[in-house]
Amino acid sequence: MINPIQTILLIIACHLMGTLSQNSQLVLKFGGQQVTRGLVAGLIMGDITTGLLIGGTFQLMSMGLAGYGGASIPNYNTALWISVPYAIAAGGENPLELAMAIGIPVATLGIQLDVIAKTVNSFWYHRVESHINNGEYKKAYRTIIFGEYGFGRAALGQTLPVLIFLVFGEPIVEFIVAYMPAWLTAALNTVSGVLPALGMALLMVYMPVKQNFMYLILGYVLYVYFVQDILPITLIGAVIAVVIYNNLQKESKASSAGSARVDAGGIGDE
Amino acid sequence: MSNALNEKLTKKDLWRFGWRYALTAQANQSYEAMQACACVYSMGPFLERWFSDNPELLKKKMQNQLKFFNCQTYFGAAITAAALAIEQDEDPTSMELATSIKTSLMGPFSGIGDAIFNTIPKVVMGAMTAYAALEGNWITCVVMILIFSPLITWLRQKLIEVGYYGGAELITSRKDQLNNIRDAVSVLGVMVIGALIPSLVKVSTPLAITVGEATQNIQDIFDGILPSALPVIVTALTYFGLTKIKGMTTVKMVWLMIIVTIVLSVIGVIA
Repeated sequence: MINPIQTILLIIACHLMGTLSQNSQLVLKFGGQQVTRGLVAGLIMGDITTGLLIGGTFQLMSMGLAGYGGASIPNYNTALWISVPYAIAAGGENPLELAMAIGIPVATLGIQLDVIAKTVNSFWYHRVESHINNGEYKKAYRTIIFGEYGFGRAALGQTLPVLIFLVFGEPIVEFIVAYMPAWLTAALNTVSGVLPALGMALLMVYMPVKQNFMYLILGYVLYVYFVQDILPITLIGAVIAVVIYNNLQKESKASSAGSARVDAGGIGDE
Repeated sequence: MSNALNEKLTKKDLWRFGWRYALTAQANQSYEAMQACACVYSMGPFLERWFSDNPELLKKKMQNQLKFFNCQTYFGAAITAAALAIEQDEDPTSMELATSIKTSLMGPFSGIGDAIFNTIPKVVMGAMTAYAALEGNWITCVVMILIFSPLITWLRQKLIEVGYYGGAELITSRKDQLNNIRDAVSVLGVMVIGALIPSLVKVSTPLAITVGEATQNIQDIFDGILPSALPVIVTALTYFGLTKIKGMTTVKMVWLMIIVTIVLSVIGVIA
């Protein structure tokens, strides 16, 4: 059971983290978007371990997903604020399984909300425009802040759906717990293993993988044959990156020094 | 004539600019103007200070900030700061110059900024905190935030100072170096992707071939040829689906993956 105080705290945390991560982008990114949210949601529900477990799982599922070029992507943040509280409140033996059963559909359906939210933002933009045309700059600033932090993309895409689901969603969750067939639970478990491929594929589309294909293979080989751990591979990669950076810097200095010499020669000739 | 116009902003002023920009970096992002509201909100108070005795010009300057702007937000802040330095001028042509600076720099610097500040940190640090979280460890997450958030805030502020004091030329003259950083960091990123594919994508097959008495698991055959062969195949299929199929979007791909996986899982091909 989620008590009213927990619901209120969850909504406040969801809204604050949603708006702040969209803007300052300083608060959450480095702790992992979903891990940080799972930690906070778990803290509010009184079970940090489960919150972290679900947050970490969603983080891995959404790894590499980013809205490149304004694309809309599955909304794991919304999914997290809903599935962590219910999974902890239900108190079952396998909270992660329930979290998946709630979270995957919510995240996928959440894609559509983002389009609506961006349309509402257009309304706020035109309000700002008309305030400026009237010379009312203070009003324009207030509209920007209210539009974003009051009723903007985060409110429509995250806070409102989470609020509705936390208040009215209990029958749905009870239905899932009671009637979810085993084959669907198993299938969703497989889905959670397959979906990270999307993030990886998207990263490969947007990163210069073709020019650096040998490093893709190097990372793969290091993982499957040597260490099943990301940190040592990251450190090896960092060393290689520094070496490459130094070489590139030398090259660009050499080429710019070369052109400088030509310039100096030009002056001398005069 | 107001004296403030001839005085360069102090570093304290620029912190105020930086926080106002950070607070609204993606505020009211709509398809038609994207991050224009951040430009209005961060530059507005300074424009008001400089042009308070010329309301007509002030209004034109404010309207100028409503134009389309879309950039990775840290470099976006630096470019806006460079535009602010140019707008600190009564000459009306400064507005056109400021706009053209913003428009011409936002594209190239988005690419660099996304590689350095978005993709790599999200993937590398996200993976580390996520694996720690699965074991119930919250310290990694908190330590990452405590170390990197102040560091990046400081770095972003330095970029703003370069933008405002040095102007667009200095940002552009650093472009070689920034490109080199991006290229080097991309190598790290690609390597981590190579490690993450077998680590994140979890799919196997329960299929088995029975010939007479002997049963051979197909998964064992795969493992014998190449560890994590199925995850590599699934990722490759997704990649080619995204790049080779016309009209394929991320959204369609998500639905396709979910449906195909459920079907294959129910008929017992994958697990």
